[in-house]
Amino acid sequence: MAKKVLMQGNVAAAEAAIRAGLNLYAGYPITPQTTLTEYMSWRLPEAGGQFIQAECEPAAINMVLGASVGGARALTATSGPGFSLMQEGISAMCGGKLPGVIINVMRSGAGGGSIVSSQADYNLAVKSAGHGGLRSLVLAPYSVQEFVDMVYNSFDLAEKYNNPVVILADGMIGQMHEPVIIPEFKTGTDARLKARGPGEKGRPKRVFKDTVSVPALVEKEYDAACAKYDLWQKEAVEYEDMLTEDAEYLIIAFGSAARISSGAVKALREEGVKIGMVRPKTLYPFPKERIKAIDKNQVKAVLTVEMARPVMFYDDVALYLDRDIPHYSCTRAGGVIITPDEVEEAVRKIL
Amino acid sequence: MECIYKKPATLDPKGKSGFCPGCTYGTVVKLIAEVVEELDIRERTMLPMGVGCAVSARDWVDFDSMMSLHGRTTASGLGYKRVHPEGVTIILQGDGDAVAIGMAESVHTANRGEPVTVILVNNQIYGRTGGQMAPTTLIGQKSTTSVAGKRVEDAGYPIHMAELIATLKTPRFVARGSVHNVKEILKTKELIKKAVRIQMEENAYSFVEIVTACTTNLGIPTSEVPSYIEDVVLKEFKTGVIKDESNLN
Ligand SMILES: Cc1ncc(C[n+]2csc(CCOP(=O)(O)OP(=O)(O)O)c2C)c(N)n1
Ligand SMILES: [Mg+2]
Repeated sequence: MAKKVLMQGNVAAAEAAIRAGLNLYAGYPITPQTTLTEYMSWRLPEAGGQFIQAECEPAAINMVLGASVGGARALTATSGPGFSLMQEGISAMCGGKLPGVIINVMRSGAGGGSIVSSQADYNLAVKSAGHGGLRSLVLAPYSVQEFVDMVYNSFDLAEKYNNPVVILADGMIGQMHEPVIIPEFKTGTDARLKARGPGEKGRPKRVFKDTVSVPALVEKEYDAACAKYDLWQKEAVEYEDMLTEDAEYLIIAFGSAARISSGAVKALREEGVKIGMVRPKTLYPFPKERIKAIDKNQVKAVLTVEMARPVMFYDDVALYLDRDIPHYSCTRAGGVIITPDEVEEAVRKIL
Repeated sequence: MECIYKKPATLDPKGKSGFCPGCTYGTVVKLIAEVVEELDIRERTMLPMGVGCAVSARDWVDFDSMMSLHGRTTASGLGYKRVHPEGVTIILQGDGDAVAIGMAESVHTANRGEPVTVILVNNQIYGRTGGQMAPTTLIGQKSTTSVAGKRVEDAGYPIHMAELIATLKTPRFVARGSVHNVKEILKTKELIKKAVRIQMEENAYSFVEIVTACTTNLGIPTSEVPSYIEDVVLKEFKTGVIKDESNLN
C-alpha cells in the first residue's frame, strides 16, 4: 500500500492534479490559495506541463478555457475575489461544454474581505455558473485526503460530462497539513488533447462557440443542460453518512464545517446522545433524495452547520427536508471558525 | 492560362462574409486566409476571435476558430497555443477588445512573448455594438457615446496600440498596415505573413495593427472610405514597421 506523507492541503491538491494528467495551470496569487500556485510554478514544468502566472483572474480562467478548447486538462485556483472575477469565464465554459477544473479555496468577507476561511461562496458556486444560469459540478472536500481525491478525479468527471468542475475547498482545508496518500500518475489522459491538435490534412475545421445566438436554439441548449443536470442527480450525487442508522438527531454540513462537526458528533455519542451526520460531498448535484429520506418517525431534529451568514446551505437542506422535522442552524461567519464545542452547545439546545 | 488571382481555398466556398457592405474588415480576413494557404498551415491554424465584428470571420474561414469572451482573446488564444505549440495561433481582435477591456491581456501576452500573432483591427469604434467610442476614436469624431465629438478632456487621446506594444522589450515584430487601396493591401499582406512566420520559425510574439473604417457607424458613403482613411485616419495612425527584431528577411 502507498505510504502516507504529511502535506499541506493546497500542495497535496496541486500534486494530485499533476498526477491526474494536468497539462496547463494558470493562476493568480491570492491567500489562502497562494501555496498551490507557488508549488505549481516549479512542479508542473518539471512534470512536463505549462504553468502561467496570469496577469489577473479573468486572464487565468480564459487561459484554462483556451487550453480546454485544445483538449488539454487545465486547472486554475483562486479564492473569493478571484472567484468573482472568474464567473464570466466559468459561464462560457459551461456554455461551450468545456471540461476544466476551478479550485476555490474560500476565504471570508465581501469585497477584499479577510484571508481567513469561510463557506460564504456556497451560493455563488452552486446556484449559477456566472451569468446565464448554467451549472458547474461542485464538490466540497472535508479533509486533505478528500481534497486530493476530488482533484485527482475531477478531470475525468469534467470530461465525462463536458462541464467545468468547481472544487469548493476553504482556507482550512487548503492550509492545514495532514497525512495523505498521493495517488499514482494516471496514464492515457491525453486522448482529448491529441484529438484536438493539428490533425491530418484536409480534415474538417473545428469551431468553438460558447453560445449560439438564435433564441430558439439557445433554449434547446438549456433543455440539453437540464437533461444533463437530471442525469447528474441520478448518477453523480455523493455524500457520506456518519452514525445515522439509529440517529435521533442529525447534523448536516459540508467541507470544514462537517469536519469540525464530526468532533461534536463523537463527543455527544460518548455521552449516549443518538446523533449522526449527513455530509454532502457534491453540493451540485445536491443530495436531495438523501435529505428527503430523513424520516420524521426517527429523527427528532436537524441542525445545519455552516460558516456563512445569512445562511445559504441551510436553505437548500430546508427545501428537501420533511417540514415536520424541526430544523435549526448553527453558524459563524466572517472568518470566525466554528468550534466543536459551539456545535455541541447548539445540539444540546435542541435535545 | 496563368492564374493571377483566386479566392484562397482556406475560405469556405459555402461560407459567407458576415461583414457590412463596403467594410474592409473582410479584406483583413481574406489576407489572413491567403497567408494560411500560402504557408500551407490550414490544419495547424487556430483563429481566436474577439467579441465584435471579428466573429463574422467564423463561418467564412475554412480552418479552426474559437469565440472568445470580450477582451480575453489573447488569454484564451495563448491557452490553446501553450498546449499545441506546433499549432499556429492568429488572434483577431477589435480595438475595444484589445485596447479597452483587454488591455492587460494584450500587454502581458506581448510581454511574456507568447508565440502568437495578434491582428488588431483598428476601426476607431465599437462596430458590433452600434458605434460607441473606442480608445482609438479620433478627437472630434462623433460616436453614440460622444455625440458632440470625442473630447480630450473626457476621454483622452487615441491610444496608439502598436507603438505601445513596441515599447516592450519582448515583442519580435510590431507593425501597422491599412487595407484601403491595392498597394496598402499588398503591403499589409506581407506584414501579416512575416508576423505569422516569426511565430512559426522563431517561436516569438508578433503584432500587426490594421486600420479600417466602420462605414456603417461613421455614416459616410463607402466610396469615400478610402480617402477618409488616407486623409484623416492615417494622419493619426501611421503605417509601417514599428519594430522588427526578427532574423527573417
Ligand atoms: C464583458 C462584455 N462587455 C461588453 C460586451 C458588449 N460588447 C460586445 S462587442 C463590444 C465592442 C466591440 O468593439 P471592438 O472590440 O472594437 O470590435 P468591433 O466590433 O469594432 O470590430 C462590446 C462592448 C460584451 N460582449 N462583453
Ligand atoms: Mg472596433
